[in-house]
Amino acid sequence: MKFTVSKDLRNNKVMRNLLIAFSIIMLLFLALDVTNKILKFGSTISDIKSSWLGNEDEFIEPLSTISALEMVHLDLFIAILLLLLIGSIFMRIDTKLKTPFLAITMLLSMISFASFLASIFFSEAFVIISVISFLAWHISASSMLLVSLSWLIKKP
Amino acid sequence: MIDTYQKTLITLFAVMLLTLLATSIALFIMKIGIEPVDIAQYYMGNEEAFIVKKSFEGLFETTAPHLFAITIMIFIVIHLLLFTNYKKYIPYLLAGLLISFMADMASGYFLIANLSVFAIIKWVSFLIFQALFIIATFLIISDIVRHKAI
Repeated sequence: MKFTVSKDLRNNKVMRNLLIAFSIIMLLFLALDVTNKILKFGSTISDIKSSWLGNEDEFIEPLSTISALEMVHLDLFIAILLLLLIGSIFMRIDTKLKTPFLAITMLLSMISFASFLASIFFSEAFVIISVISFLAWHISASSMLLVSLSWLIKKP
Repeated sequence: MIDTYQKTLITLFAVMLLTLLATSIALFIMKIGIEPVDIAQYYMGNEEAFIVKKSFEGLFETTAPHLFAITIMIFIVIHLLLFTNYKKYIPYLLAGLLISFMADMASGYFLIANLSVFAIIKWVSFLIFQALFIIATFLIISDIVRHKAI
């Protein structure tokens, strides 16, 4: 985790190339994560509601509470690692907006997990919040990666 | 000196980590139960309650990803603790976390070998592991909160 403590990464060629490669792969991961969820649950709100909460007319079973919790458990672990690493690279960007940007991204990811569980346990009204916050944190994290990438590519 | 950005990053990381711990406790309670008897039943099976005994392969499928994930999380938390005023607790926390984690993981295998005493060991080690992880996370949060941001 040297890059979390070394200040100017762009002067270190190996570290710079490593982080450029890391950022590109993480961008790909974020895009594939959204694609995976669309393929798994559907692309419209009604499809997602049916996959999560079940649909008697189409004989679709609802997600069990244990599988919902297992999904959150795994996705949350990935989100924590991903956001910590993206946040550590984004730290070097010289702009006043970086702190609100990071806070919004991390809070949106937590809202997405909490509202997903709330939609399973309490009310289907949380489905829309979960979907919007899920997409929003993926877009926000991707933007952080793109800004970091442009900073890393630029010569110091 | 720590800046506002680092404070935000580490605090939100710690909050997310606590949420992850909450989901693992919830999963443990919902899947296995609260008492050692429930743990023994979950692993060793119970014909009267129609609970099938866990297989070695099934157990291994859970152990393998957890060995990776939990070790990474312990590494990150201890790494962050190195920058706090609680450095002196690191050897105890690290030893406690690793021993309880290994005992928790290994107990399942002893249970499927019909050694029911390991239900208590699994129960105790799970509780110790969760408690130590929560303490370590709170130590990071408390140190971050005490620091003045620049």
